[in-house]
Amino acid sequence: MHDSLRTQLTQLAGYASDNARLDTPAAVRRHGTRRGRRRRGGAALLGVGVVAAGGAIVTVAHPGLTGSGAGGAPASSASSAHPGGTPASSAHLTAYQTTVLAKAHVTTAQVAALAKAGFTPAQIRALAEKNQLTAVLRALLTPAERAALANEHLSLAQMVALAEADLSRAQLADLSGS
Amino acid sequence: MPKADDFDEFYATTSRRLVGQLFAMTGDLNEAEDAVQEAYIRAWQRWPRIQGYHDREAWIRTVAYRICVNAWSKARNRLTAHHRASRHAEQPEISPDLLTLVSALRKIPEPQRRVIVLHYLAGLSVEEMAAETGAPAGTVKARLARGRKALAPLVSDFDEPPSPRIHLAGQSRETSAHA
Repeated sequence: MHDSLRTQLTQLAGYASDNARLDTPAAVRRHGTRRGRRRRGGAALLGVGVVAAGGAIVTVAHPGLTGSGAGGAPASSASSAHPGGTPASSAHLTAYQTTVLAKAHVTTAQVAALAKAGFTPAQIRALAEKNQLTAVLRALLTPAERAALANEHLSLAQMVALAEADLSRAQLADLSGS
Repeated sequence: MPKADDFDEFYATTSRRLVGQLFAMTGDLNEAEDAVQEAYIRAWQRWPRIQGYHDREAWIRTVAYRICVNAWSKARNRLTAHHRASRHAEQPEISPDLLTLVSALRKIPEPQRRVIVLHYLAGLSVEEMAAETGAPAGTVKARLARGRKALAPLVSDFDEPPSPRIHLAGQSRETSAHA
């Protein structure tokens, strides 16, 4: 073995590279996504949202937004008819969006309240990323936006779900009924 | 949603190379595989941010290395390795020469081993190694010199490589202070 150290190390690394058993990129991404959801406290409900409505438990058996006692009908009727996730229009939610929101029990009423208060998609993302709702509330939000958040009692998990759903301005406007 | 295509391409082009480098640092292929994969999982969770980094590979390597040196992670990886006993049997046997090198690398301190691998395998300059390890350039050079010196009797003869000083114009004072 009279090779240089560099050559010997290259051979060693080559052995490892050739014999490494690695997951596919898709599998690595799946691991990361699943773990992120667990960390954010996402409920382990696949396609089934359960929400208390007027004291009774209502099971929503499709991946849509959960209806609430405040009268919010599942806003995903259009997308649930398209399980492939293709939105009927830019304002309709995709299957992915409705699943994410349903898992966190985000209601249409809550989304509508945020939209009416003037929340932009960027603001919703910022709220979830900051992880410090109280501080952000004081610093960034208008009184109307603060009131909307307070009235809807949105949890951090729900904000994260909203951020992950990445609703567009058109979708927010559609959900707010404007 | 982060762009999966970019991540997939990055993973495909760098993951095996990084396993090789981590294997040289740790001497354990399974530990290197687990650490590198774990680093990529963490990268995917932060992909929108990491995507914009100048040297994403260095980020993965640093995270994977930290995972390896973490005591808890080592224990977990040993357990994982135990569960993967059947996999071990399938791996081709390592040649006696490479086994000697692995054994020699294990005998030198981890910081020295790290810079040896970063310099000779990853091709980093002293400045780049200093940035990646968080140690001053002089310390990096000292570790490199000591590591090479320690390896010399353990491995067989190897050509004396060019001095890392060539990467560091104007830092001769530091070199002499740490040599």
